[in-house]
Amino acid sequence: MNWSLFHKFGSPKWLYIIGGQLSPWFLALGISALLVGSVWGLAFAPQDYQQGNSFRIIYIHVPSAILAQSCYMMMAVSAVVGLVWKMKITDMFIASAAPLGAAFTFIALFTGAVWGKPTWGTWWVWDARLTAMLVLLFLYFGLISLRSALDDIDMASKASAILVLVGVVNIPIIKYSVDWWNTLHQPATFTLTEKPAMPPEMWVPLLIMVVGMYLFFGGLVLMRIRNEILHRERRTKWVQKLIQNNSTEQLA
Amino acid sequence: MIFNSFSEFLDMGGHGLYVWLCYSMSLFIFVVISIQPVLTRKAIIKNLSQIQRRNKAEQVINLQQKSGES
Repeated sequence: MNWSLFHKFGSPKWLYIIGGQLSPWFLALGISALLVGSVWGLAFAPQDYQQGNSFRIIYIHVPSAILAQSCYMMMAVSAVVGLVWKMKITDMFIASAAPLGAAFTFIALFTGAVWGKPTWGTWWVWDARLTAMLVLLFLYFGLISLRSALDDIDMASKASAILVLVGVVNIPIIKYSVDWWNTLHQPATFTLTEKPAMPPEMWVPLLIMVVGMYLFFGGLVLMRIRNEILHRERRTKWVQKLIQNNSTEQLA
Repeated sequence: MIFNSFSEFLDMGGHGLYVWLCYSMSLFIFVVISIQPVLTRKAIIKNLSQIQRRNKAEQVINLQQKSGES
């Protein structure tokens, strides 16, 4: 195995520079994909024969719900890597990703509730899928407040890694809840093994939205990690130099 | 476009309120989470450059005091 890349990735300075180069691309591509997907989904996709036009909420609901869960899984992987190899980067990722995960979970819940009203006749039911998603939102909130409560960075990183790993049980519950229990919620739109039940005019924009959402998340998480790096490495020579150059540029 | 007119597009077959509520709420959240890291970055840089300037000023004062003592 080539360990040099592993060490490079563990170097905050390297990640700061690479992240700065990559994040504008992620954001530009992600936002364009989200725009294309939304316009396509809102104006050009055919309407659903049962739900009419309210189904167009799917183009936000499903991608943000996917991101809410996969953000948590990425955090869980970094928590394991962080606990085993004691890397700084993994904790920076968890700190940066948690508020974004909360935002995506909130969007998924909100759009789900608004979609539920015309479709199921109710904003909310306490069934497994919806409740587990609410638990996910509270896990994200818990992580954010745990981090702000602990000043010591080593303590905060260990505690949040453990909390992330404890909360992982919730993810398969969210995923399989629609198969395990009776629910109003419909089963998964995209699966790896089967073709989508929708025609391509419907699912292609949805796929574009999912890809756009991942890119958007990637761009934002890089921006946030860069902030974490600046703050945590503030006493190092390279950050001091960076700040110095920055202030002389502003004077000139 | 599958809608015949713009007003039909806004109406979404009577579900306009639900659809546009979802899209506008998501847009609002996206704007918030996009602006937030930019503001944080500005605040960090401002704070760190202030500290740097203060440290430099202190160094100068210390040097002046030392040269005054000798």
